[in-house]
Amino acid sequence: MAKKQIDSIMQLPVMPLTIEDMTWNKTGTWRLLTPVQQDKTAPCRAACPLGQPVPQMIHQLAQGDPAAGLALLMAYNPMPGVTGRLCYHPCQAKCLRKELDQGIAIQNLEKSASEADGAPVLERQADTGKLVAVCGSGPAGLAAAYFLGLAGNTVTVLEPGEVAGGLLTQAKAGQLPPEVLAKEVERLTQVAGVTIKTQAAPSFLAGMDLVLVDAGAYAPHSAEAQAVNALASGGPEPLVMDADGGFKASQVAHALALGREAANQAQAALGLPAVFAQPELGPVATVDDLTLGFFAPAEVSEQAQEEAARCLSCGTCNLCQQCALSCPDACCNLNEAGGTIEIDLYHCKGCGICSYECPRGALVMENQP
Amino acid sequence: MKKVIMGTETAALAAVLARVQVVAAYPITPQTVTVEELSDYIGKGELDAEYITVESEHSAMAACVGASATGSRAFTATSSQGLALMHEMLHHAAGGRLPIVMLNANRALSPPWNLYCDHTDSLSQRDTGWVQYYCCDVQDVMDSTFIAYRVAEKVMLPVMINLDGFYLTHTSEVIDVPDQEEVDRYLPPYDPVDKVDVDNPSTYGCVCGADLFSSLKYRRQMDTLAVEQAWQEASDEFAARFGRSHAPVQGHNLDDAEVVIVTIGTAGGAAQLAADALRKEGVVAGSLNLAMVRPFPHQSFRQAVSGAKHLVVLDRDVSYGGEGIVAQEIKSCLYGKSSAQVHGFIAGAGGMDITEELLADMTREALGGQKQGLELGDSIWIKVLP
Repeated sequence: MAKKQIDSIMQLPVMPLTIEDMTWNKTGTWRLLTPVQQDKTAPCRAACPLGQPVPQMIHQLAQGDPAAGLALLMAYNPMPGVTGRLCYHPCQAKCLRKELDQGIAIQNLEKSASEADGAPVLERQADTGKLVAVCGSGPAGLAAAYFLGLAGNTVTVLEPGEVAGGLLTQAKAGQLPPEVLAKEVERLTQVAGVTIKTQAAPSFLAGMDLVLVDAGAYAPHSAEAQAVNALASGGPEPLVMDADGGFKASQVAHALALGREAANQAQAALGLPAVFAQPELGPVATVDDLTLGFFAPAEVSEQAQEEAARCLSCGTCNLCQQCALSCPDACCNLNEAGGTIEIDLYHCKGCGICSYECPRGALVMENQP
Repeated sequence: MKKVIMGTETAALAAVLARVQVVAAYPITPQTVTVEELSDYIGKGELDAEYITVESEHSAMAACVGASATGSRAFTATSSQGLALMHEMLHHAAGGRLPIVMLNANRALSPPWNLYCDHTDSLSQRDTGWVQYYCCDVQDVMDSTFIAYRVAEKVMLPVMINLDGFYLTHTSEVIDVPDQEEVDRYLPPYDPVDKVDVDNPSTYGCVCGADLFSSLKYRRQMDTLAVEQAWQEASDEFAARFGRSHAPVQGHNLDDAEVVIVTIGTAGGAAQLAADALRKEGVVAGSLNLAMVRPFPHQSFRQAVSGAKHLVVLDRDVSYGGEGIVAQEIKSCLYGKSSAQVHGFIAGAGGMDITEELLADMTREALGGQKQGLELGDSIWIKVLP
């Protein structure tokens, strides 16, 4: 935009008021330091065995959209309703809200998100034409099947017993009711297009491109382990998941992570690209990144949306717009469609107020033009 | 309707009849009655306006600036120390081209403390860009308020209506109070082109660089100089409707006058009597009430005194290190345009009454008669200790 040309006294306004906006004045050329949004990794996420985007999920709950929160979780975790009940929640131990009052009940929030209506629609890769069998329906097997299904393979899980779930079927009903397990298994098959055959027979394996075995959680000589191993005979050389001596129910997230990693190994064996990759994460946020003065103390709430609103979103932009409020030049603006904060570098003078004011340390000033 | 009414009450009633929409004021003697009356009118629902109570005169003017910028008709009243405290915001009101009208009750600035009439308070705000009008009687207070809004909203400049403290603020006279309908016909509602509007945001009093700053000042000076003509026209129209004139320069027997007594404010009445008395002695005298000091009414003034050989100028003020401020103004106006001799007298401050006899004696001294006061610099001081 060019500066407005005024050629005579009578073209001046009577009152000294703006006759146009100042966008023609590209004050961005004055800048020495540049604000850059650099999300750090929230300590809860860093502690999660599955690396789930915890603050982002909680943000969706706070916004009243548990389905969006569930979709975020299921890109990492096929059974959030199980981890939301059984996991030993190392996330909660790291919660920085404890510096202010009490930590967030993250596991309850995960459970709450898992109870969102319907199954999220995750992007499923184009059909690869590959047939994959997973022997054993423990959490690792189900996770492997889920991610291989998302990768576009035709996946069948073979379970010698009557119910899918492996060791999870033996969890105390008070902790994991059987109907919840059934619902979680049903949902993951629906999302990833996986078929489960219970009371399966080994003859099925002829013609498979790949066989994956999940018997690791059982004692090697137990009847269950033998039944799973027996299933895998009669097909191609199986890929065996090394559970390193098995998991307790509370370690279900580790089992799921093992299965997720096994899916990547299976993909490699099939000559296909990896199906899951943890995005590159910034350094872990500490209490020094937070400006606790911005946050009012608030009681822990049983109600998920209220509890979610207590999350400080450590190191992670949650569109609070404190930067937009404090920028003297209106250079930080919410892009509602994109759900991001955009910084107008044509006019940003690099004063650094946005970075100073960011309550969660997600904006840094960098020595770049 | 005829009414016996005091100057301060008249200012409040005039504001009511002018249908002001925002009043922000702080009380100060001798103006207090005006803002008390206004709060009564508003409190009783007789005036549909916002009364903004403030903690100082600076805030009072700031509130008027904001109110006026939104397109409201704003009014305030102050005096002396209060006017001095407003100083910064006076520049803002005039520079912002906001047609605020303010009553100022002329009172001495301390120290020493003195509550009585002195014109130094308003005259030392001469360069803020406000139009300054000085009332000579209570009717003038009523009428000039309507003319002030009429002119202010035409030229987009604020107007200060000055009342001599106590001589005018606390004197009751019989005046003619016009009907609301008559006032409404003379003074239509204020509806500016530019005003603060949340639906059409812009910055008021914004930054301006060297490229346009001088041009804006030039434009403001051009518009300010045009006030003399605008006021004259508004006064003429007022005279046509109401039969009373309140021109920037008000002369008495000036057509053939060789000696003119020049005053501002209430001394104009005594000046007329003094001039009449001097005529009986054979001095061809007249008097001139200089109602407008800013902008200085150059054309009317030069015209009015074109035949005069002597101007006897009364100053109820002094510019320390200079002379009487009105005398300075007149010398500046006449320099190179008139050969009349300007005799500056400083008298009437702090409660000293200006009488017909005092003005006549000053005139006789100017014409070579007996000395009345002490000469100091370019002025003669009256009634000071030897």
